[in-house]
Amino acid sequence: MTKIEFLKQLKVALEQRGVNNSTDILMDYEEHFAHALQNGKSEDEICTRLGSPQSLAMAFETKSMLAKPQQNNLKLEWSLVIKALGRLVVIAPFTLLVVLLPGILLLTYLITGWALVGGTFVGSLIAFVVGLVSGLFTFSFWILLSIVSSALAGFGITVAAFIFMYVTTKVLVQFVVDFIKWNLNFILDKRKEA
Amino acid sequence: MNPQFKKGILELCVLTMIAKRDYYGYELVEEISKILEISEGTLYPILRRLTDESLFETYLQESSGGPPRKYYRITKKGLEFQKQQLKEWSEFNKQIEQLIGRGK
Repeated sequence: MTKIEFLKQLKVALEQRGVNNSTDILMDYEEHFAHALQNGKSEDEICTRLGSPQSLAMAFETKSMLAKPQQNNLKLEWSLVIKALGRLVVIAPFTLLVVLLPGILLLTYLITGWALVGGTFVGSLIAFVVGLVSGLFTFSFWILLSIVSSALAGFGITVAAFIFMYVTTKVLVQFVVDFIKWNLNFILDKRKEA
Repeated sequence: MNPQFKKGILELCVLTMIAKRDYYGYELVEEISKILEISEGTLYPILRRLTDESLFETYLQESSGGPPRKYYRITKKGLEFQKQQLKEWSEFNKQIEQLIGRGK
């Protein structure tokens, strides 16, 4: 085995076992090679005397038992962050396209709808007050009755519109929340395990 | 020699040698493998563990015409540990001696 082969195999074996400080460890062996080569030994001889990279990696693993879980957590988090960022990049243009146009329509619908509800309510209220006041001033029962009754009809329409808007808003908000949740789950890769 | 036995005793050898004077890795390996038949690579995990446990500290030294040397020096904690380990080892040795000596 050559020096390069030995170090490569050791690096792979250390990483497979999740050993900390693999760069430092490899440097120690590089130093060993440097000294042994200077003393006139061949790379093959040095490798044979060192022992197999796999069994050496095992010795480092047993010694770094304490450091291991911590290191694994860190690794996991990092890979998660990188994955999440990747997924964000994938989903962002799609979400923008899907969300932007329907989103604008949706928002318009909600604003107009609620404005109409507000409008009919305020209109009916004004009509009611005006009817009441003018009826009282003119002492005309019929004017009072007609204006107040139309105002009451206006209230009825307001209530109906309110209920309609309330229901549709609830459904739409739920839909948007579900969509955002789905997006987040996709980004964070939280697929439900079957 | 029995590998399991060798592993435990190797740590004491490394501790005791470095308690006497500073060594760099290759030098230590050479000294030990002159006497004990070992896979030379296995000394580095031991050095690293003992350093991680603050029994040793390391420092780099350039050498003229050679690669830089990473030296190991024993700490106060390391010295205490070495004394205690050596004591346990010689007690164990005495007990074994008694057992084996009886057979003779």
